[in-house]
Amino acid sequence: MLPLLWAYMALMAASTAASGMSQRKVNKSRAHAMAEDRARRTLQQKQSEASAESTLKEYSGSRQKEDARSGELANAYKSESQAPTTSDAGTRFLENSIPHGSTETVNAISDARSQAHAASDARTAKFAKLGAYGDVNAANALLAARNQQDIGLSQNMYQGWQSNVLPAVLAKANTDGRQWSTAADVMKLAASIMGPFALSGGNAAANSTEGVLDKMSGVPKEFAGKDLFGMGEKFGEGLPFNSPQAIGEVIPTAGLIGSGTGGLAGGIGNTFAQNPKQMEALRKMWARGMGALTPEELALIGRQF
Amino acid sequence: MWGDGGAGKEAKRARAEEEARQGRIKAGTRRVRESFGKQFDDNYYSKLLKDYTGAYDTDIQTQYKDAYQAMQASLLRSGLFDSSEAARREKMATAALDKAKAGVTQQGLAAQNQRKQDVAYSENSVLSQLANTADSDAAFANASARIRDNTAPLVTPMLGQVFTDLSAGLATQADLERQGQARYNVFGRIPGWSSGRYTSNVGGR
Repeated sequence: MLPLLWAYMALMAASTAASGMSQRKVNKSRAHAMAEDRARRTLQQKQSEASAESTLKEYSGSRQKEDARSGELANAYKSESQAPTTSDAGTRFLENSIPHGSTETVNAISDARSQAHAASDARTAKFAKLGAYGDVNAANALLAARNQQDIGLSQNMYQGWQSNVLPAVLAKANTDGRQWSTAADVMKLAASIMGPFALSGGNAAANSTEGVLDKMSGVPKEFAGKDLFGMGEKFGEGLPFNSPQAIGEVIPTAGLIGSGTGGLAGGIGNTFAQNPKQMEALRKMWARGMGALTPEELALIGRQF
Repeated sequence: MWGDGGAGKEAKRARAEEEARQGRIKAGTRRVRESFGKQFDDNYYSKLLKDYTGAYDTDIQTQYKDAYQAMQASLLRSGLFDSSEAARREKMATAALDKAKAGVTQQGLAAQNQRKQDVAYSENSVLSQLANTADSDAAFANASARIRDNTAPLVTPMLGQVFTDLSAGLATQADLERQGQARYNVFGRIPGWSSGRYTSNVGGR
């Protein structure tokens, strides 16, 4: 009996450990997925902040850029002076086909042209200043739009990860403990089948494992009617579940198995009600521990198998 | 019972597909930006302005030359070719020429800015398409079409008559002189010398 009891207890402990391991693996995988999500989100935020910072920098440098642009524009507007040319025929300006007869006129015209150019350059310098503001802002807006593109791109990447990958990764994470979970389920099943044998001294409430399973409500059809662990072959046929002998010898494990009025648990519950003295004796026995059993008591338990 | 129902395979597939999608978008964005950047660099915009002002320059110079010669003819007819009036008219002519050139430059700069905005808009719409479809080939074909659109010549409306005032007054004066009807007060500008004597032209003949 003792090895079976130990095996039963080991199975229960292993089942609990496997369940814990299963949950741990799921949690670990989910945490890993969420850590990746957080890393991607942080990266996206950093990229967006860097782009926004760049936009701010562009705008904050507007004053200097405006001065530079103003110079460029003034240069673009700058008028061109052409000096008069002198030949044997006399001095004339580019557009003139006729030379001027008077040096004074040539000088006066040169001065007049210079004055006109100076006035034009002064006028266009104002245009340059006015235009520079608009140009710099337009350039800033284009850079801001480029940065906005970068921010959008970064968001697109993160959203793509969130929409397309994260759900699949989390679904995978949820299955990561499946092996442990299944192992735990199998061990629990085995333990629940061993339970009556390990704890009751062998005379299970039914003649065989398949008998027990058949009586359990909600037994999956693939298990029903099958001697999964070869208990019947190994330990021999048990007593009929409702026989007086079985009732007299069954160990009080109903508390472990559950309560109710039908099936195995119900049958054991009825046993308690009908044999309170036997139940009390067995409880005392159980409380003392297996190592302190008397030879008679060991013989009693041994008969169960 | 022991497997994950294909969840691991699906997660790997989703990750690979998303990485490929992001890779296509990143590469496509780089390619589109390079294409636009190569085509529409600073040299392009400088040349655009130069071409724009150049397109009008010939017209301006021709108009100016005609108007200048008409002005000189008027000055010659008036006997004012070598005079302070000639210098004053020269100043007017020079200022008018500068003004015309500055006007064209201003239009050219506006056209340059408009082109920059159009290019940025085109690039942005191509990249938006790319981000939504992750189809870099289609985006690049679209980028090429947009680049072609934006390299089309600018609209340059006719300049019109720019120099209309250079000879103003001189023709009338010449006509009057030809008809002997011009009356210049000979000593009128000298205080106390209002003699009532007049001459029909500036030369006093």
